[in-house]
Amino acid sequence: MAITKTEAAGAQEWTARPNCSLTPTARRNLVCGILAASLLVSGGFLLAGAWLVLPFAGLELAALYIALRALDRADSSSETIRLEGDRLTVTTRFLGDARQYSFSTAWARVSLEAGDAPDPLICIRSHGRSCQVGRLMTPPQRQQFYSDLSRRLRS
Amino acid sequence: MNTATHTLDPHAGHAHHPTGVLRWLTTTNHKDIGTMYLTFSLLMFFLGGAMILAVRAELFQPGLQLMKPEFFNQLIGVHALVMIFAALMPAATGFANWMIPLMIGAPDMALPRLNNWGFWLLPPAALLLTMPFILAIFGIGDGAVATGWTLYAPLSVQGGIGVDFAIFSIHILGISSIMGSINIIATLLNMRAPGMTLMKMPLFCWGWLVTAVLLIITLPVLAGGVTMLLTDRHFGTHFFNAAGGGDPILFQHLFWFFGHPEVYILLLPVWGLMPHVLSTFTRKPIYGHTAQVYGFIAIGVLGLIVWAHHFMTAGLPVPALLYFMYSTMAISLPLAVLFFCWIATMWRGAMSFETPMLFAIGFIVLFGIAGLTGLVLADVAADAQYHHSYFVVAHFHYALFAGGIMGVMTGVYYWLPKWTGHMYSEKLGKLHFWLTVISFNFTFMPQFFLGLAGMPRRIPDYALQFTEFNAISTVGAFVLGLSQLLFAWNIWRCVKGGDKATDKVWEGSNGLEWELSSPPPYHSWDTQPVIKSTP
Repeated sequence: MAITKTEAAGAQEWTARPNCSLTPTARRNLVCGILAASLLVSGGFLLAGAWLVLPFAGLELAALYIALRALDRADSSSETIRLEGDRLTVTTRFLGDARQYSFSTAWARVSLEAGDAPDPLICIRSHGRSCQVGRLMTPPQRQQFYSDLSRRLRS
Repeated sequence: MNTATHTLDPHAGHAHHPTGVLRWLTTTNHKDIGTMYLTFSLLMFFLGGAMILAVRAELFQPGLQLMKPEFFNQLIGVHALVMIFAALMPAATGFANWMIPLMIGAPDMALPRLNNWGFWLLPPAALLLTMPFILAIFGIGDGAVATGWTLYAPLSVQGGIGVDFAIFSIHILGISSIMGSINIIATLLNMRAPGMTLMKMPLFCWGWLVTAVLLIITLPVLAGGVTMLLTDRHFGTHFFNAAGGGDPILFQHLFWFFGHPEVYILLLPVWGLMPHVLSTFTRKPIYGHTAQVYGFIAIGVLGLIVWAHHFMTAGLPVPALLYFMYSTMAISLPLAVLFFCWIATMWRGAMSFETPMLFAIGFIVLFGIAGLTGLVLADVAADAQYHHSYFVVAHFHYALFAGGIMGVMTGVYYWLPKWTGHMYSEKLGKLHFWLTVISFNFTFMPQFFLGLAGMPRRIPDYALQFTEFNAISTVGAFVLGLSQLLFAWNIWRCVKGGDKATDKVWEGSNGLEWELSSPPPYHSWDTQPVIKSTP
């Protein structure tokens, strides 16, 4: 998991993303390479009369594609927390589902609460609305971010 | 006002996992799944071993003493299928599950749920493979698959229900392998720690990456081949029936297009492991990391285009024979690069001879014999003499027992203290090594001579002239089989307790996996490591 922190005049922004060592281009090349090799082999056997190899190759490539798509969706997840003026804005993207929450810095309360993750998540709440962040952070990163955000909200 | 409702302990969630049976059924943790793969593999190793000891007992002297020829054929076929698909492959997958996330700094495998399914397909597949033995006791069917692991048509088209069970078992094992391969490719390519470029990736991971790609390319061919066999048996097709316009040799092409790369699928993870072990116990960096990576890739590519050397006596045209002979011999070049790098890693190193190092050296020497005898078999003229003889049996056991299983034993002894947090007994380990190496050679070296003298494989009875070598081989096999109980006992003792292992375990160990505690925490890598150094 990677957290990037940017600071501009009067604004701080933290963005957490899953670690991803495969670039989209490399992923495309990988799929194309395996597809080409697999089609070459199954095409050769098709010409030799063993046409049943082709559907199995197709099924397998479909499974590979679905797995990589699932990874792609997971890799595009992010959590962005922006602190600017008197607004605290949280934008989360998980598996294509984007949500945004906005809180007043004067009223926002930050706490660590047990969620569906194995370790406590950071909960931000105000006026009956709440959101959880930290799913894309490791526990030490979450601890660091929690301290950082609490300190800035207090100041 | 900000309030903290929990005291934040970075390790607080680590014990949060189901316990008891549910833990093992539902786990998505890479270490749990790795442990299950390795345990399953060990059980199947003993099952496959017991089958072949019965075969060797029958072969102790000429004549039929213990079993009917049909049962003999079933034991041989199922022994091979169990050892290859249910013992060796799951062992390598167990290593991958346990070690790849630790080695690349990832918290788990990329697709943990798929990982769980991949494992739980194995027990039903093994059951399918062996169930016909039990059904035959109750008078259902005529026993397990009796065609040898190659399932050659038209014999397999005419075989009993054991063939059908084997076909379905192979399909399930194939699905499991595909799930594992997709997961390993996704993990290795997508979840490496920041700074770990592909060329900095550990060689064990490289070995597995090439293996996974080979599996993805070749498994559909096997799946297609056995499905065609099934339709020939039950649905009136004639893919492999010459009388119906089919071609039995086509099955051999289909089978060996998978079957030959399968050898590298079994061996590449072990070849990837060896440099780590040699480097650790020589206290030197791995020699030729990049050369070995290209060696793995070259072997993978060449391994895909040499399949027909397994049936050069089946009547292939001369140009094809020449092509397959030369291309097969070409594999010795990248393999020689690997051997050179392994020996160069040891050269002038401060060597010590703990059990993993003994097994690694034993592997190099004995696998070298497999390589050299493989060159002899690749020669199309010589192969006409040796094909289907005990020379081939001896050759592939030097490749798959000395190369594969002894490689797995190297890995188990090397990583067991890391997995369990305890040191195994060195005394028992060394005794296990010497008994294994000596009895292995007593078992299989005579089989080279039997093959050279003309004894065919897959026969329960033989001419009197082969008696002495067969007797020696059988005694060797029993010592070899019983020696493996020491291995299981040593593992059991280590799991239950023993001297505490340090995090680094070995003085010369080097790599991310040794940075974690022994045993590693349930969730690895809370803090993602960053790689800066060269491999």
